[in-house]
Amino acid sequence: MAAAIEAGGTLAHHHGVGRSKAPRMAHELGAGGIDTVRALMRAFDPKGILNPGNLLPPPLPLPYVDDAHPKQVTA
Amino acid sequence: MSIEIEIEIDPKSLLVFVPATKSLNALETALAARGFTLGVALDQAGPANADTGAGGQITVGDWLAKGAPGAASVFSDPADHLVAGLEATLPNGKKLEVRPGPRRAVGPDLTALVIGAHRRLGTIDHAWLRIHKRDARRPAMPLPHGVDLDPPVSAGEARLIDAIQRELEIPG
Repeated sequence: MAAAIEAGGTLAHHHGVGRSKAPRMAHELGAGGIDTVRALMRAFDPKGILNPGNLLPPPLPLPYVDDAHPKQVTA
Repeated sequence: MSIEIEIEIDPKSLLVFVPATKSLNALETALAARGFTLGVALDQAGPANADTGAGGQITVGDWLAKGAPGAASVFSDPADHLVAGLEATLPNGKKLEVRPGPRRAVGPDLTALVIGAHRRLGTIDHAWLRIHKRDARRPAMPLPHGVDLDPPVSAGEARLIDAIQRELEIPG
């Protein structure tokens, strides 16, 4: 995967990221790209329940903004 | 600084790396000198020059922030995206770099986040734009005149955009 990125390629062309490639996302997107994805995840998935860990590695995208992040997840 | 230094053309990959402050018209002129074109309808792209009437006086950054009016419709060729990569500054001051590369499936399309977003979600500093050979037969299918590049959004969509902006303003 490192060789693919170094050659200008990508980690995943159509299968997505998943847990196997998530730890290497920063190599492709950079720190700013990872921060941006985390921000989008907080906006779209404030409860953090949509397949956590399959796009970005830990830590989970915290802290959420107050008005978007429920203090308690309810069923 | 000369035009040749300001832009970087990759003739093999048909890409140009351009600062967002460069005018679209100047970029097209520089590309034409090398036998390339953006394939954009400059008369639809931005305000015309008051003296010459020539279109495309808008900067590349402003043009992309407005949704790239005058560019071919992405619906006519969804695989041939106008912007292959970019460098932008996020609302929190951090830098976002999307390298030009082949089709990727690593999370959301971060170029789409800032194109047409009127700088709310980021300010483009540089862009990798796709170019075409001037002598190539390429059907021109620009968006029709009068198309609304900035249509009204629902209340729910507006709340989501507000939430994205707030999240991007959080310092890391």
